[in-house]
Amino acid sequence: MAEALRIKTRAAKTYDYRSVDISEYAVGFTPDEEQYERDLARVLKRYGTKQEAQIVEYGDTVTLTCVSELPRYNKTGLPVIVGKGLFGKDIEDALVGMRNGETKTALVDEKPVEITVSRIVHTVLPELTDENVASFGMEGISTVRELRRSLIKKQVEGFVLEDENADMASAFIWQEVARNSVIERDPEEYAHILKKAERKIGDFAAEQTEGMDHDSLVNIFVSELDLAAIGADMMEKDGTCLTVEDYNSYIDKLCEAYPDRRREDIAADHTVLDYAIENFANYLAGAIDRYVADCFKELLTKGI
Amino acid sequence: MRYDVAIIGSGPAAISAALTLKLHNKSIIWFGSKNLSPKVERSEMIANYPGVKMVTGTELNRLYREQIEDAGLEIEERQVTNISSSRRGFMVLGGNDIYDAKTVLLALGSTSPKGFPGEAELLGHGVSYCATCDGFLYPGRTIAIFCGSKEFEHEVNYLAEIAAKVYLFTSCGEPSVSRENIEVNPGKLKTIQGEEKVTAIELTDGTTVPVDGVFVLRPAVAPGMLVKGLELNGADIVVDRRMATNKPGVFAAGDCTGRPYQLAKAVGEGNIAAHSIVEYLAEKEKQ
Amino acid sequence: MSINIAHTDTFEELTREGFVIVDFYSTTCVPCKMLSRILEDLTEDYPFVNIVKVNVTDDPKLGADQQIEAVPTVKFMRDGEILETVVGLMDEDEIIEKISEYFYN
Repeated sequence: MAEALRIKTRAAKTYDYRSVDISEYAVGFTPDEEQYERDLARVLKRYGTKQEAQIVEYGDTVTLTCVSELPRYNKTGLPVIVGKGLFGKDIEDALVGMRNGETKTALVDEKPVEITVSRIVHTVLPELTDENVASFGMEGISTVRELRRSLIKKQVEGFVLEDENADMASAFIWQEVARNSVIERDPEEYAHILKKAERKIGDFAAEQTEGMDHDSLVNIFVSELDLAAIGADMMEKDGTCLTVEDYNSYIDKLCEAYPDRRREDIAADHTVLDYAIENFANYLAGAIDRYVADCFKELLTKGI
Repeated sequence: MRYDVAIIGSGPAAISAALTLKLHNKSIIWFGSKNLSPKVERSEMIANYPGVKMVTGTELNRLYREQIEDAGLEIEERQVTNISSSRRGFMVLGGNDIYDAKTVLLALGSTSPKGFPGEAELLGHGVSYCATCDGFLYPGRTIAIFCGSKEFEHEVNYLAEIAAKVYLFTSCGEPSVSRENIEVNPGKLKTIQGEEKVTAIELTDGTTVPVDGVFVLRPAVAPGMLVKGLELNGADIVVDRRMATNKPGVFAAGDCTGRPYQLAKAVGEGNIAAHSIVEYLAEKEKQ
Repeated sequence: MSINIAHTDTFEELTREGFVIVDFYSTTCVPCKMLSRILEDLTEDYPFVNIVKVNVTDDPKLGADQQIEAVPTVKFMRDGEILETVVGLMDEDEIIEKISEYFYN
C-alpha cells in the first residue's frame, strides 16, 4: 500500500463550510432564453422518435448516392442532413420532396448531378408535456418545469465559473472556516509557513496587495496551513489520501520541465511539506467551490 | 448574460453610439478607457464642432464623462483581444473573461500597431499574444517579452514564474516587475527570427539574442486580428453607409474607418452605427 | 456525436475511426474556452462529427507528440489521418466550411 502523506497540524474543531450562508452573493444572473430554447430543442431531438420516412423533409437525415463529374458529388452512401447546408444548398434543396428510392437530376454550379435517395430518417419531436418529459427517464426530471429548471441550472454552472461574486463567496467561506475552526498548529510547520510567507510576500504585485498590511498578507499563508489541516481530515473521511508516490511524480514532472536543475535542488524548493499543505488545502478549496456552485444553482433557479 | 451590443473603444464615435443605444434601451457592454480618447485629450483647441464654441480637448472629455455618467453608462477597462462569432452571436474576450453580445461596434481609433518583422509569420510558432494560453510551453526556457503597457505586468510575472529566463522590452517606461530571472533590456526589439519556429530576436543595436519564444503584449489589437476575416482597406475598416462591415452584426465607426480624422465625422458615424444596430437587432428578433 | 477527453493512452483509439475534430487546449487558456463552446454547439447539429479534447497542461507529452506549439490548436482528422491543423481561434462558419470540405471530399 502506498505510503500516505500527513501533516502534524491538526484541526481540533472544524467549522462546517456548508453552514456558511452565501445567499447575498447569488445575484446578477438572468436566464438566457435563447440558449434555453436551443438546449430544449436539443433534448427534444434526443428523445425524439426516429422513423424511416418515405418523403424527404427539411431536417431529415438521408443516405444519398451521387453520380456526376464533380468528385465531391460522385459518391455512394453519403449521410446528409437536409437543410444545414453542409453538403451543399443546391443538392439539399433538390432533395426536399423526393421519395425513398427515387432518382433525379439536380444542378450544382450548373453541372448535372444524379442523386438517388436510399434511406430517409425523420425525427419526430415529442410534444412538450409533463407526460412526455416523464417518459424521457431523465434523472430527477418528470415535468416540463423540472426540465426547464435543470436546463437553467446548467446555465448557472457556466455563470459560476466566470462570476466574480462566486469567487467572493468561496473566499468568504474560506475566511469563515479559518476563523471559526480551532487548529492546533505544529510549531515546526508553523515556522516553515512563516518563513515561506516572508519569502513570497515580496513577489506580490502592488495592486494585489492594495490596502493590506503586512500581518494580513502573512495571514493568507498561515490560513493555508489551517485549511490544509481541515482538508487532510476531509480527505481521510472521504477515504482517499495523498501519497509519497504522488509527491515523487510531482517532482518528476518538475525535473522534466527544468532539465538543467538537479533533483535535490528542485526538491529543496518544493518540499514534501509544501506539497502536502498545498494539496490538502486545494482539496478543501475544491469542495468549497462545488458547494458554492450547488448553492448558486439552487438559489438562482428558485423562482423557476 | 447576452448583451445587445459590445462597444470596443471609448472615443467620440463610441460615446455617440453608446448614448444613442442607451436611449433605445439596448443593453451595452462597453470596453475602453475611463480617460476616454487620448487623441481628444491632446487636442489644444477644437473650433469646428457645431454647437460648441472653441473648446479644449480636456474640457470636451470632461463634458463627455459627465454625459456618460448621467446616462448611467459604464466603461469596463479591459483589454479586448479577440472576438469570435457563432450561432450565439459574438464572444468577446475582455481581459480574461468571455462576454456574449448580439452585435459588435468597433470604434478603435486610428492607432494601428505595426507588428515586428517576423511577428505575423511566426505567430503560433513561438510568437504568442496570450500569456495564459501559451506560457505552459516554456517551463525552464528562455523567452522575450515585449510589453506595451503597464497593465500587462501581471502577465510578465506569470511568464517569469514559468520560464527560466525572461528578456523584457517595454515601450511604457520602467516596469515594476521584480523577479530575479527578468532582465529588463535597455535596447529595442527590432525583428523576430526563425525559419519554422522562433530561434532568436534581433535588437536595434545589431545584437542577436537566442530565445525559445516571444510574447508580444500590446494594449491595442489591430482590427484584422481582433475580428477574423474583417474586410480592410489598408489599415481602415471597410464599411458601407450604414457603418456595417462585411461581417453581419459587426459595425465600425470613427477614425478606424478612415479619413477624415475629425470629431464631427466620428460622432456622426457613431450615431449611424447605433441606428443600424437597432435595426439589425429588430430584424434578428423577427426571425 | 460525442465529446471525449483523450490522454496519451487513449488518443489513438479515439481518433482511429471516423471524422474527428481534436481540440487542443490548456487549462488557463481563455480563448480556448471560446473555441470549445463553438465546437460543442456544432456537434449537436452534425451527429457524425466527434470531438476529442486534449488538455496539454495535463498531458504535456501528448501535446509534444502532436507538435502543439500554441493553443488553441484544432486538428481535423479522418480515420486516424490528420487532414489539417489550424492554430488559433476560428469562427463557427469557418469550422463548418472545413467540416463540409473534409467530410464530403
